[in-house]
Amino acid sequence: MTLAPTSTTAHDNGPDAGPGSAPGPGADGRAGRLLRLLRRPLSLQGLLVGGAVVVVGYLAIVPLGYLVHDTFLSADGRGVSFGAFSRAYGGNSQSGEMMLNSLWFALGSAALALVLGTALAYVQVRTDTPFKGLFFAASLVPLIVPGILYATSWIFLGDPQSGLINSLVFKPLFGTSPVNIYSVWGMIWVQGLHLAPVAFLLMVAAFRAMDPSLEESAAMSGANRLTVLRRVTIPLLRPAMISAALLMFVQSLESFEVPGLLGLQNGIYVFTSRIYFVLRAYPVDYGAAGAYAIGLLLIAVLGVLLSSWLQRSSRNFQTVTGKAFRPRPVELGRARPLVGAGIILYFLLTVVLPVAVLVYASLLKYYAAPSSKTLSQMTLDNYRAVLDMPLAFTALKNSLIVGVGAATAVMILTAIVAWVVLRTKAPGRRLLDLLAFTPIVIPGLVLGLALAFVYLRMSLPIYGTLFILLISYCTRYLPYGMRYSSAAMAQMSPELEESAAVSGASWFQTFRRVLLPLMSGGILAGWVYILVVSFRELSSTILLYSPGKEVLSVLIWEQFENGQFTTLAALGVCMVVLLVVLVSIAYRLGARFGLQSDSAN
Amino acid sequence: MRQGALPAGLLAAGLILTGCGASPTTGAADSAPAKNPYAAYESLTGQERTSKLLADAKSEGGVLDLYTSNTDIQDLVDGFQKAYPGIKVHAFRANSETVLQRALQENQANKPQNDVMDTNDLELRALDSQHLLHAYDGPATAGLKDAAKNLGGWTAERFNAFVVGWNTNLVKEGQKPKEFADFADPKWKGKLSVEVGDWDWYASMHTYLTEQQHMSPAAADALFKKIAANVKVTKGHTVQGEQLSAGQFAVALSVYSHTVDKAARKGAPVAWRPAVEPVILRPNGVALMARPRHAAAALLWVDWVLGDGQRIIAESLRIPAAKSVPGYRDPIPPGTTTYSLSKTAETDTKKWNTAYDALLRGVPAAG
Repeated sequence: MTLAPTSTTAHDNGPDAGPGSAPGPGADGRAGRLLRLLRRPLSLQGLLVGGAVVVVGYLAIVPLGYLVHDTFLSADGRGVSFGAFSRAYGGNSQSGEMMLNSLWFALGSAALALVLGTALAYVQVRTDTPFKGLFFAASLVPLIVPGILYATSWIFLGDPQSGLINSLVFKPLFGTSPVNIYSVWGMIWVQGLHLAPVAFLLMVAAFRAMDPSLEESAAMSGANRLTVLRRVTIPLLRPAMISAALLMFVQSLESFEVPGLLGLQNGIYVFTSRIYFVLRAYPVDYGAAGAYAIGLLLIAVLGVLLSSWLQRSSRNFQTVTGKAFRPRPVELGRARPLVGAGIILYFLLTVVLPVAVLVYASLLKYYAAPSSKTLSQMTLDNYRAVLDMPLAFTALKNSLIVGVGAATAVMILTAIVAWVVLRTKAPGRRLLDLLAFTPIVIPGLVLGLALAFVYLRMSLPIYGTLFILLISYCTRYLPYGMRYSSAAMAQMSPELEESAAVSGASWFQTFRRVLLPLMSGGILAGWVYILVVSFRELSSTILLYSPGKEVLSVLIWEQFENGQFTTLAALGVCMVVLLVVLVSIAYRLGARFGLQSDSAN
Repeated sequence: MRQGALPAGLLAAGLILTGCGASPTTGAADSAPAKNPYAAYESLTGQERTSKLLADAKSEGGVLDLYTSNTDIQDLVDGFQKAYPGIKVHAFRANSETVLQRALQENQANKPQNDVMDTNDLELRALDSQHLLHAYDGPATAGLKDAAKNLGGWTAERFNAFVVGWNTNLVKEGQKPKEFADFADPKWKGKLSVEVGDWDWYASMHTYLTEQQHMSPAAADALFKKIAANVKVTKGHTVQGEQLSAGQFAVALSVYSHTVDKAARKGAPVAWRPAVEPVILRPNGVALMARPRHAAAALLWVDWVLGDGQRIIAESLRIPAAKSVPGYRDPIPPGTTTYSLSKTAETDTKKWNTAYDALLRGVPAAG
């Protein structure tokens, strides 16, 4: 491979060189640097790095310890037992079949989301496509709409009998009703679209941090566009793509919203429906729930190991080097109108249709297919009901506090930990990486129970405050933050830090003045992602929040549990508007504080 | 290589943190309090009782901590605060499983946080079996229906009626289902819906068939199996109700009567009367906690909910526990067969939950 960017560093081994290769002098230097840091625990660096590692480790270990304890504890409470696994996977559980369904669903969704998200990000960052402004906010809308609402919109669009796509488009035009949302393909479609923003956010950051001169050199050497894409662009983006695929794959394995709403109708059961049933019984069989989570954990660990193996020659991906570069848009030329039309079509399908169904439902008294009667009876009552909710403003305020707090804390922590994992030779750094990924497989309720268990027994006043929600969200989104940060860090060449160090900068100065600004694209993307998803986190929230400390997802749950779908739709529309505004503000501010935009560097 | 040194230390620290003390799930908090926190009030009645409770509730801090899975709780909170403006109600709302877990966890940690519990019968039975509740025996019990009283540590405050609801555009006059067993007919294939979490409905219906209709358990299982072959499974009652209105299936086998009534009141083409028998009445109850932080406020709440508060429950189209509520008309037509789980019925939630799950997936129940 000759992809490594021109680099003048003296080190022969990348920081992640395989265990077989002898550590080079540079690696030793870096390990020594960490050791020096640790030996000076009271210095600013020591405190920062050590503190971040300890906090991340602590956040990940509390729920994991709780889970492992419950899973392997035998019935008499003393010995170790594997009974939970036979309860979970044996008997009539059909776990094999469900696992296959789950894997198929998760692979399909992750693949669809990856292709869509990457293609969109490429068009957004690297071409002179029309509608750039609209593009960005709209790309994020599927992420912002809560999963239950997004899936429900698709029910009203894609139901084989009464779905609008069938009854308004296919039936009159072709005389058939081919769309059936209650199939594995329907589930993959909805989940894939819902997840595409995860890939989009990661890939936008990655494309922005990529030096186009590599592609230009390839083009100069006679490679055509496709070859450049295949041999240069995509390989360079491997860390970000792997991170995105891994996150989306595990998240799909772990989610029950789409399979619950769409799969059950035709008896398509997935793995998580087992966890769902187990967690509803009393007394809850935490052992069995834990056994499922550990099954997922094994898959996730394989994924993390695979991804670090694929990234083993990390120098190949370091596109941010000492050389200045300026991402220049590819001119689409004659393809421009085509691409423009494709974008419009994509947004019609993923954003306009589902959101329009929500807006339409929110204006009705009860859902019915559009007709002159329903259109004449539209009313704003549902919005009035939302504004009249006594807790609406408390919940909004608390959601904002916790969401912004968790997003900021996670991104700061993971930026530092990603540095430890990718830049040092600290012993156990890979385990730390794995550990930070484990919260993704812990069912939300189990996380809630673990935190309640710990903080009920702690004298610090944390239980019953917003702080416990903050801790819960930080734990839950740690894996996401970690992937966003390490994807950004992997693109950075160490020569920049070395130059800073040579010029006399302290570690903290280097981190703050060199690394953070260069990683800011990835960090902002992670921040936005966490902010958005934290607005809808429910499974641990519902156990941990306290009266007076409600968040928006609790209100959504109340409406979903036993309310009016039309009011729920109105609440969803308000959330989408609010979050689109917030995200736009975040990117405006990001641009002001030196975030690379597509036009400037 | 000291590959594992960094996380190993963290792991050890974490395990010590989570591992020490009581184990997370075992060990019930069955320590009944030595002293009855409600003793000072239990012999009082009438205005004297209310005045003393109100005065003491205010001196306790004027706060009531309520845990509830009742999604119409806000109406009750508003009504109570209007009746007793000095008392502020903090309501923690969540689904019944979560409410149960939260109370259990807090009591295990010896930090009970709530005064009153308002949730479904099976969760209340579970709390009662852990001796966390204190039986209510105030003046309001006199006005309650027999089915609402003498349930152990808790008292029914309302009933949720599980009914069979249908879309009136899809089920024409004359085709209306009459009996639950009718749904085994293959003509209903793909037209019925059930909700994935309604194992408590399943438990009641199954027990009704065996206890009241004297079916053998095997025959009841066979009937359910045939019905299950006709159903589509949905998730969430709100979505289920909306899909029924939109005509995505003709019949919902287990919806709340108030969900259908509320939708019909807005003009949706849905109905549940004349009722397919039996209507399952599931008591939802209120209970005093054995270790309250605000005992007087707790008692004041329960007195009120089982007394004047019944009017508000009736207005939200639920079925009140009181024998008579002024101006209230029972939504269940007279003469309709109703059924509630008997006090001796099998309430092993795990068994029912597992069996319902197996039924929906079409696999043998024995696990």
